[in-house]
Amino acid sequence: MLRFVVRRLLVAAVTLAVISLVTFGLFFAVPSSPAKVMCGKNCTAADIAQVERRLGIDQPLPRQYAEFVKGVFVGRTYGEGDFRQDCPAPCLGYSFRNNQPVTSIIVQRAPVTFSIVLGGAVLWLTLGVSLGMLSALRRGTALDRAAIGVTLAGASMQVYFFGLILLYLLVYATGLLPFPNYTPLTENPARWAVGLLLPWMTLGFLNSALYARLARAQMLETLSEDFVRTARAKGLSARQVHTRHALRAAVTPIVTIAGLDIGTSLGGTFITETIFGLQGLGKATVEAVQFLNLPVVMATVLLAAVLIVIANIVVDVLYAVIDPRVRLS
Amino acid sequence: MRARTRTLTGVLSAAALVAAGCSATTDGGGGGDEKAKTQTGSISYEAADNQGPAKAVDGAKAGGTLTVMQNSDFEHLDPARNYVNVQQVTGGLLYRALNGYKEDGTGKLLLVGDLATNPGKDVNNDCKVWEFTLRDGVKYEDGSPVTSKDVAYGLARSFAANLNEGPHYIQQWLYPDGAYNATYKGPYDGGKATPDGVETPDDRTIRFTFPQPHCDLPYAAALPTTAPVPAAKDTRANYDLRPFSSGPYKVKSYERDVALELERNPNWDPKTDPIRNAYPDAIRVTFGLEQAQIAERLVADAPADQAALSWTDVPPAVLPRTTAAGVAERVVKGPTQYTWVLSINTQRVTDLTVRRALNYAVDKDAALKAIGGQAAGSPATTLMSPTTAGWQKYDVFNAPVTGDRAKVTELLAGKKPKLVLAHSNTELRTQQAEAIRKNLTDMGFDIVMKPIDSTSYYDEIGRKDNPYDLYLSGWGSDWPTGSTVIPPVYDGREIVDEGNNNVSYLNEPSVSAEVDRVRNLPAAQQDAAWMALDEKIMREYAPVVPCYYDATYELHGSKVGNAFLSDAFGIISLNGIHVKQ
Amino acid sequence: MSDLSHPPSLTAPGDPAAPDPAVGVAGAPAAGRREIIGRSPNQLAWLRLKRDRTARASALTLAVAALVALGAPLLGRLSGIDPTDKFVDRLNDFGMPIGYAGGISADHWLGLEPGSGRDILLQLVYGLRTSLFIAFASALLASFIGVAVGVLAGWARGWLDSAVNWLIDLTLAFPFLIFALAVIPILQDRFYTEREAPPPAFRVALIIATFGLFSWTYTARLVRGQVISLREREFVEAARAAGAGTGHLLFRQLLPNIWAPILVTVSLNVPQFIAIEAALAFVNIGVTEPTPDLGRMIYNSIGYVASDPWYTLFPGLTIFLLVLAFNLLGDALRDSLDPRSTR
Repeated sequence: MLRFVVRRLLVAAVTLAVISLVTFGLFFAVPSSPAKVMCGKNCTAADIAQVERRLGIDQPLPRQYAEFVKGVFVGRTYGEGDFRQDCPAPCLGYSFRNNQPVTSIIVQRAPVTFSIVLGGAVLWLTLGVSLGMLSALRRGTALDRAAIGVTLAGASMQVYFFGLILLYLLVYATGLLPFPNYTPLTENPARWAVGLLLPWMTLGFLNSALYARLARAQMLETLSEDFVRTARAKGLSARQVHTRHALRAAVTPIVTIAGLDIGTSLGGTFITETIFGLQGLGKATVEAVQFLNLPVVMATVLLAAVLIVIANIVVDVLYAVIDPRVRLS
Repeated sequence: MRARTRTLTGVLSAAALVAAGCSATTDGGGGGDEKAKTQTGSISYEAADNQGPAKAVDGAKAGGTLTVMQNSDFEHLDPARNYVNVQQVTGGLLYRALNGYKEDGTGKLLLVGDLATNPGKDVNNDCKVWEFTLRDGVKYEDGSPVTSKDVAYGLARSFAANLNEGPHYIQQWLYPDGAYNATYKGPYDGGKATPDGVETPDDRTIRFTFPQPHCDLPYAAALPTTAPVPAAKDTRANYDLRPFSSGPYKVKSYERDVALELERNPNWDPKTDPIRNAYPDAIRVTFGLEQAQIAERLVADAPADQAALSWTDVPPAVLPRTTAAGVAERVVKGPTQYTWVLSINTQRVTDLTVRRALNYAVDKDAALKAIGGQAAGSPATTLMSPTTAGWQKYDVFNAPVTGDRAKVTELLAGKKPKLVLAHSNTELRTQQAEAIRKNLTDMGFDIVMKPIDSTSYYDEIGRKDNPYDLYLSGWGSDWPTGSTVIPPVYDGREIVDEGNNNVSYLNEPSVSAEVDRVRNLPAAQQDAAWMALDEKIMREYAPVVPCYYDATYELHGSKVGNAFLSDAFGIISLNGIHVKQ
Repeated sequence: MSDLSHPPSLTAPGDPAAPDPAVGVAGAPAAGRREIIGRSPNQLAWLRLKRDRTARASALTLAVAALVALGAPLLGRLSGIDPTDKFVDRLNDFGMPIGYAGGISADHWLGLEPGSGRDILLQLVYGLRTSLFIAFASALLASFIGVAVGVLAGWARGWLDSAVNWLIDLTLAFPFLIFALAVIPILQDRFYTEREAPPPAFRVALIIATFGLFSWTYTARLVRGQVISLREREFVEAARAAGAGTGHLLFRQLLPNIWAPILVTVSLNVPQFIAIEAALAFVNIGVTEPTPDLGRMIYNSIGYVASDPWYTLFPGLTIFLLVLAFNLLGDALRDSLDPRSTR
């Protein structure tokens, strides 16, 4: 197990290095210059050159990348003279647009996205898996058909459509819920939950559709397996058969997909954040791209990649934990 | 003032599939005709106008928290870098410039002394030497007194290349040769503490000496350039996040892209301030909401949003919902100082006949309806907006608002000019450009649409050698006289390689000569002369197609009192606003 | 997944994805059991599909959609309206269509777009064309890349297999949206001068390429698993023993046995692409004006749901039905191809 994790981590490091290189290269091929965007309107060529020097983008590309990597480990200083800015390690860059080190932007934004995704995930997993199980166990009944119908509708809807309809119905038209906003969990758990209810509901419904279908299919498959028949035959109660044996076997692929889904979403849920006016990582990334705020782009892209890579490893490990037949090597 | 960052971005809103659709939409649309109101701006030396405290607003009580919901964060709050109206109104709560605008919502706009006891003394009556005396008892947030040396230091630091985003009128007037900061580069890295021509004989006096006459100085001194910055409190680039307060509020917290929170500055004395009532106890500016979300929330007027307002225009999709009872009375609308024109790159389109044909061809109605119709503006025929002092309506072409096909055909005489139409790639601007493309194509032009990223749109069209022929651009005066419209936008001598405001690149010696002549006229005759020059430019050179006079259409919650449109800034003023208890 | 931070992470029910894809969905030797007449598995699948009422209904819906999309120019000719024609005189001062139900009239059967005054029916029909084309082309491209890479990895094994696995991980970890946002303008500027408008087809091609580049991973993993399991089977061994070359083994022996799961993947990928293409409009990298596009139309119309619900309804309903029909058909296809299916 340990060897497996170490090897995966090494490969992950290479992956991240490649991603950072590609992102770096990508933004240097962008036609408009970040310095120009930052410098604004009444800017002379000399001004632009100065901004470039301040951002450190007047250097050749490999040098800049080396500076970036160095900054991550030992920190660095931007600019010169009275206008220098320190960026302590781990320095992922300094955002001159926001006048703060990128790490503090991440620290500020990540909790928002994490709250949205984790809360939503709890909802969509419980809702999806229980609905799927139920419909598998009551196969062919009206309940099953209704569940299939709802999940199909859910799977065919998009966040931007469903979220906006919910927003109108529950917030603008009736005022049943306040407009979503983010209060840190540590500050006031109740307000944290109320403020995020709408995104949770949206993600919960749309994604549970997928999980319900997945869970139903898996359950049906496992219910027809020999070991379930054996368990039934040795006289276990239906409940024990379903939860201890069938669900456990059915849950493996669900864990795989859920893990990857959550990992991907943690890196930023741009549309959800935009629709509900929440300042998370997704919005930070897209805004940074639009303003060519390269340090922020680099940091958020890397963070998203790290989360996905970690999710991959976690899923594999979980896999081994749930299914004793799987060996990690 | 550069084009307002009117972020016509994503329309992202929601509402029911229920209701609506059952009643016929009529031609009337919303509201009555907008009366173009002409600026009655003037500089007041009356003691009554210049004396604090500001006149109390009927029924207003101090207290409450006012929320301002904004689409995106401010670019800058540092007074040296502050050049956008929403930033100036917010900055005006934190720091006081030498002069300021006094408004009461009736359309009367007075320029009075803010930090200064009056709008400036023209010492020799030649507009070259100006002297200001600071009020007694104006204090910073730590209780220390505001001195004229701090005003001089604030101006000095605005020369620094790292803080170059603000207006540069006074800087350029002090150093008229070459770029404003070619000689003096600010007090940093060993530079001297004050620029040439600025003297502070004592702590309450500041004197400006210009090589040339500048009768507009009282207006220029109302820009944040003259806000005081104590050298000891200068945090340079970080000053942007926390300006040291000399106004009624101070920064409590500022989380970039999320929210700016202001609380009272206990050392602000209302008796020293003729402009601000400062009724709310706290002001919270939130960022990151879509235009439509803001508008929908303000329409809905939920309890949490009743003490809120926004400076963001209501997007077209939500406009029809603002005419309902209970909403209509919470709309603040009116013309702003901006005129939007379809600039013709005269370096490329050298044929005056084509430029005149374009003036006959453009369907201003379609261009306006694409972004919200009459709520977004009204069709224009002049270069300056009706809010400019001395404005007179004229129409060189007398074409119908939807264009004059016969005239275009006649002028083009069978030719089919190929023109590249550049546009900002936001949703509404794209829609608008597509409307113009379709309209001009139908009129016999060959139009190529070229989207430009919205963040670099003005940079691209401001490049002298840009490859485009047509582009929509907006310009508003920095103060309500023609001197901040015609010279920056139509004088060929202002053309540089990058960052031009003269985006039609009109370079006619006769216009430049006329600019010089008007500038040297006595102040009283200048307004009419600018207007005459406006018409001359259109009649003789047609460098642009005037499209529409910008209008603003904003909403506020039901607990916001005394919300009116500031004629100086074109958005809801915060100076006399109050939260109904 | 819920958002477009990443392209379709295809999570088809019953098809557990990585790390070890389910094997034997369409096992070749598993021939008809209950039937008296000998039928190939494909014939069986076709029979099951034909018997499935939902499948028939959704296939019909899709056929109609395809027909309408293909026949768009005909409709344009018949009505005499071009999709870019603007009827601005029929909009009020706010830019809203005059009349009932969003300006529905004898001339404009589905009314007019607010703001621009374009005919909704024609925009919709032409937009459908663009969207369906993008979705189909992307799905095909993604599958093509996926199959090629999957076969390569499964067949070659060794370091090449590891490299492909790593490439898949890399692709999955790279944010698709950021890539699309950065790359689309770069390429556009590279290929067209500042005074040329890139033809609509160029942007469409870029979108398809981006989708294809980021969505092949699922197919690749699936195919790799299949190839690994099939390559040791007797029939492959036999062919090899008979002296067949690699080409013959791959194209004549292996591929015919894995086309079924690939087909399912394609059919489930198409609706995902339709939805994501609409989401691209959110970040301004979708299909550009004036090319009609369903995705952009939906994005533009959502805001009008309260002020002009008809404008929102038509494109919204179209995309919902389209995606639903594809999902249903994909499900039915999978069920019918699954020999264990008892539906």
